[in-house]
Amino acid sequence: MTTQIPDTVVLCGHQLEVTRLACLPTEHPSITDVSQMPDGVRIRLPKCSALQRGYTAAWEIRDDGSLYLTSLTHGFRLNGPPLHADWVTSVVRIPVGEIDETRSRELRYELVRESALEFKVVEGMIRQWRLVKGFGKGIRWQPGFDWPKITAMMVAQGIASEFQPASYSHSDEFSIESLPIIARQSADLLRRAKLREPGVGKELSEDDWDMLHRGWADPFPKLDFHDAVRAFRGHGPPLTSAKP
Amino acid sequence: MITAIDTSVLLIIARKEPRWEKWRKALTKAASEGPLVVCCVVFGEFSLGYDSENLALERLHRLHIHYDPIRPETARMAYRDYLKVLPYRNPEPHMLPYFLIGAHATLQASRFAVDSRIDPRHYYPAAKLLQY
Repeated sequence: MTTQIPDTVVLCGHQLEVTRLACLPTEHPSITDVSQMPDGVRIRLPKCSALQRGYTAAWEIRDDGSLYLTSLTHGFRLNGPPLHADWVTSVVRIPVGEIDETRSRELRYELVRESALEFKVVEGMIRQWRLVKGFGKGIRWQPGFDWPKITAMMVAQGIASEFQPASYSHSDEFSIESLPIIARQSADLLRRAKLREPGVGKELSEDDWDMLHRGWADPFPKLDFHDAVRAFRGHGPPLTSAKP
Repeated sequence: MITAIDTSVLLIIARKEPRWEKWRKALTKAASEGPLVVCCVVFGEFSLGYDSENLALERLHRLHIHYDPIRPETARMAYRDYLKVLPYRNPEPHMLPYFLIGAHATLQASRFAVDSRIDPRHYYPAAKLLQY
């Protein structure tokens, strides 16, 4: 199957691509089927192997977590202002991170990226989200739509600041204008390499942990360790009795 | 894989409380898989037991436990989460350290070593916990 032309989605100001974000209510009064003439006659539109679904859609996810359909091209047209996508109740998956070249070549019809943002959408509103690697088994859903937290988690996982970076390529045409791009790509690669660096772990022996005790005087010797932690954090009188 | 450590676990090991050997074993294994880190709150709490911060840093450094400052976005997230829950509970200003430590473990580490009487997910819902 030919690589499909993706839909676009503006996620809190960042334009991203997704193979197909959600289904389209073709009977909606604000959506016009271009192949349907006013007199009821259907015309045959030219087909394209890169656009099997027959249209491309532009979507927008706003700061409050609401999903809007903003425009349609090719087989359909959107009349009027952006449409709140209250017909969408499903899990929406937006790929982010570096392109996985191997899996993209295997799949062929879409680009596969290392991670994905998944949103549980109910009647056009995002109710839960999670950032997954691979198929996301066992990763907990977070409530609501918390964009600052989402971006912070993506940064923490080493996902580049543009969320869907192009694949890194070598070019023979080196120019002064390309320097910022090269610098940004190099910084991204270095950051990711640091996160994944093998052998960063250290060999410790279990006896090494006695080091912690040397020169350490317990600030709360009469409290058990739960209450000592509470005392460190400014709680009032300890809940339990003193340590025997 | 970065492991963030809570004061509770450091206290267990330093005091040789029950379960300290299990935690020692778990952290030794975790150290072989990636860096061990403490945030500024945990460091501040645990370092009180030493004569100086330099001695505390030296002790932790020899165990390959790194002092990892809280980044601006983590601090912002922690304080925002703290304000979110504040109206639903009695005013508890001492809850803020839990949110700072939890946000650090969630955003700046891969997993979290904590030993708590209550379910740790109460304060650290998104952090992946290190099992001993």
